[in-house]
Amino acid sequence: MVVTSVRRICLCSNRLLLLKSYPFQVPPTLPRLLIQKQRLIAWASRFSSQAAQPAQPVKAHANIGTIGHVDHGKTTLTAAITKVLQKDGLAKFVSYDAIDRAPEEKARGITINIAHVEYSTEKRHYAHTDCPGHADFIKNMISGTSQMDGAIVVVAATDGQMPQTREHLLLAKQVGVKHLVVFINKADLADKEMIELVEIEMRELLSDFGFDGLATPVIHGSALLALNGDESSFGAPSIRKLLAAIDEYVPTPQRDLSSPFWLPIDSAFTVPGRGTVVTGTIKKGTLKKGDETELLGHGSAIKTVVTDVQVFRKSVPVAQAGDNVGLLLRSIKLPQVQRGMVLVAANSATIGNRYRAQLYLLTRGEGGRSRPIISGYIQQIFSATWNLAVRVDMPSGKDMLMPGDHSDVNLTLLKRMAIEPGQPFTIRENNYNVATGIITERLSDATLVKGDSLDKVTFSE
Amino acid sequence: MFRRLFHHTFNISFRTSEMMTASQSLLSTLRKKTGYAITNCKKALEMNNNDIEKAENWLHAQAQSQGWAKAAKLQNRSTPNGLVGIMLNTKCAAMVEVNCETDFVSKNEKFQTVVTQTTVACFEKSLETVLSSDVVQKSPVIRLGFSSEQLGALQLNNSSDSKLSDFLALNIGLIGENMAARRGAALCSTNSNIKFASSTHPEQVVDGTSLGKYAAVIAYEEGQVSSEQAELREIIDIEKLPKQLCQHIIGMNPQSLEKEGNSSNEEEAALYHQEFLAHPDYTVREVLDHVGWKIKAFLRFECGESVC
Repeated sequence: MVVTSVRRICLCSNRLLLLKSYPFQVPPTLPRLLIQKQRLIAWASRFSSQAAQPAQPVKAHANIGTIGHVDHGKTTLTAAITKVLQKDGLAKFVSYDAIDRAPEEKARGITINIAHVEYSTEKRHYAHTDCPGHADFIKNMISGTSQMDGAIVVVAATDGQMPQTREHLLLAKQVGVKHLVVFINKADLADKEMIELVEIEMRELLSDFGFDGLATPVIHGSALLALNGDESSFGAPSIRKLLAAIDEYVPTPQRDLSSPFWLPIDSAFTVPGRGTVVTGTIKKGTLKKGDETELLGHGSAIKTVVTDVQVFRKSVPVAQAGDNVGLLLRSIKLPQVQRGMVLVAANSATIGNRYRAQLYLLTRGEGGRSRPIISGYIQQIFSATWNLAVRVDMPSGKDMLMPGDHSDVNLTLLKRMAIEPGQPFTIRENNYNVATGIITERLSDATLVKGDSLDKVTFSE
Repeated sequence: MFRRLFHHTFNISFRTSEMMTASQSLLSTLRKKTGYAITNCKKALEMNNNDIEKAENWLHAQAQSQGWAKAAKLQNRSTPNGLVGIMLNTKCAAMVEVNCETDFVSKNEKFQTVVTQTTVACFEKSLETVLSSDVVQKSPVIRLGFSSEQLGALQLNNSSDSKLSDFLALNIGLIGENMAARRGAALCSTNSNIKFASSTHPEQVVDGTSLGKYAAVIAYEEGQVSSEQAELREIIDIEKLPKQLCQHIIGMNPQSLEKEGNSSNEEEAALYHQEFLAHPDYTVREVLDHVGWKIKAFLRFECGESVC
């Protein structure tokens, strides 16, 4: 009982940040104002109650996945991991069939074939995902639900790497996985020479694809033996070895304290006699009282100084990523603060109206369009707490995007905003989500030829 | 402490002399050279007393029957992914759909070779059919259809005695996923006024064959301009138009050329009545009238779509 509740907290604590700063769908204006009001009340009440939050002894959390050929035992391995950890009371056994079904799941309106399995080692808590296809992994990345921190590449000792192993590694690159661990499965059906050859080939291939082939842990074992409770070296012990290697080799995602300060503004209010206060959860970096900052978004960039930093209604000298803060800003009038603005360390970020993004166009079945989109598609974009008119253009060489396609696209916003790479968004048409994506890169600004319309824009590539 | 030690040992084990011998072994050489599964390479060496040349020959000889065995084993697994391939010249445009299990494989070079080979075989067969004297050309454009079995029975162009189904089985053995050459279709004409154009989406060209998840082919005739429109003259690029028409067919999925009844559903599904995808202010009919073209026939494949 205690274990589960702790686990849940640690799951939340890692995702809270993201969810809070980027609600997936911004509700219509009136309820949104209500929510804002409620947030303010919540904030104020938290101030008065001086409950000091005791530090929870929570395990760090990491997201991992399995990739590999359909017959090489990905699903058996996942089942075996839960089986072995169940013995130590660190997981609940999930059978092969339960994982293999890869149930359809809806995340931000997208249907993804994905299986989630949860378990802990002594060191960390893991959310383990297994998707049958490339497109499912990409959709999972775009929907922003769980960025994979590492992945297990499963390869059978009997076959060795397959032609499509190249595509598996390309996918890992594409979804930003930097740390892979190789599990050579079915080692009990091969001899030593074969296993070694598979290992050498895998290390070479990993290096070819820009991974650290030499440092990558390679574990030999048999998921099937482990699943059947075998305690010989290729059985359960190989699974424990694998988990130890993941614990060791895949780093825990850290709160980013070293980057320049960045605060998405949830709300703003005036404290009579003192000035304008903005609130929100610090996304990255640290902030000291008296720091020079900049208020960015909606076409304006206003320099200001933070004259007071409060956490739980107490003035503090320093606040850091993850803290929910109230900041008093020097010589800022309330109307100057708009929804969707961010407060950043002075000169650390700029506003722009053109961004590259990874976009997934929803299918008709997911409530999206039945027809394709072509360059010059103009609709409303919703991201963080703001929405704006946006123009979608295809990269050169592509003419259109069919429902169900994912692609790199260029976005042009009606106003210049401060957006971080990795920030998710949705595009809505007649109040329906038609596309969802993440910003990947800032591009040089576009010029709106008519000033207030996206119909005609010019930019340099 | 244990973990550190453990991690360390792995780095060391990689550099041991044993591993070096394995990398230079006959098994490694054979595997590198042929790409067959390690088990098979091992077996080949054992059966041929480590004679690498004999082992290689044995592997090639075995590959076909191994492939068929694998194909039989995997035949009931569903193949929702894959690619459509198109090849065309001035007389004929052929299109095939080949399926596989995962979209990892559909991105793989080996699988794409299977699709291009199937496309070429289907294209040559179509061309041969239409050029042979026993086909009397009644309509200006002939439609041909190929079932899965008919595709499988086609001859591969590079080696006259092997059939496409053998080639498919060989690749099932290599890639380890079920595959199927699902269907083929072609538009052909010996009338030199008829022109062909095609497009695939997302477009990728491999060895002269266009590949994609979607594909469309049109057969059209250039004729007299009946109603030229000044505004259209500015926005229509005649060079790009055939491809744009194919993209329109991919995107808007028309079911017929002209509507036959009066219901609005039919109008939406009739090519001539649809808004033109590239310039939605005009219908396809307006654009075609402007340039004086007539679309005689079209084909559209969507990979994995249900067919009746």
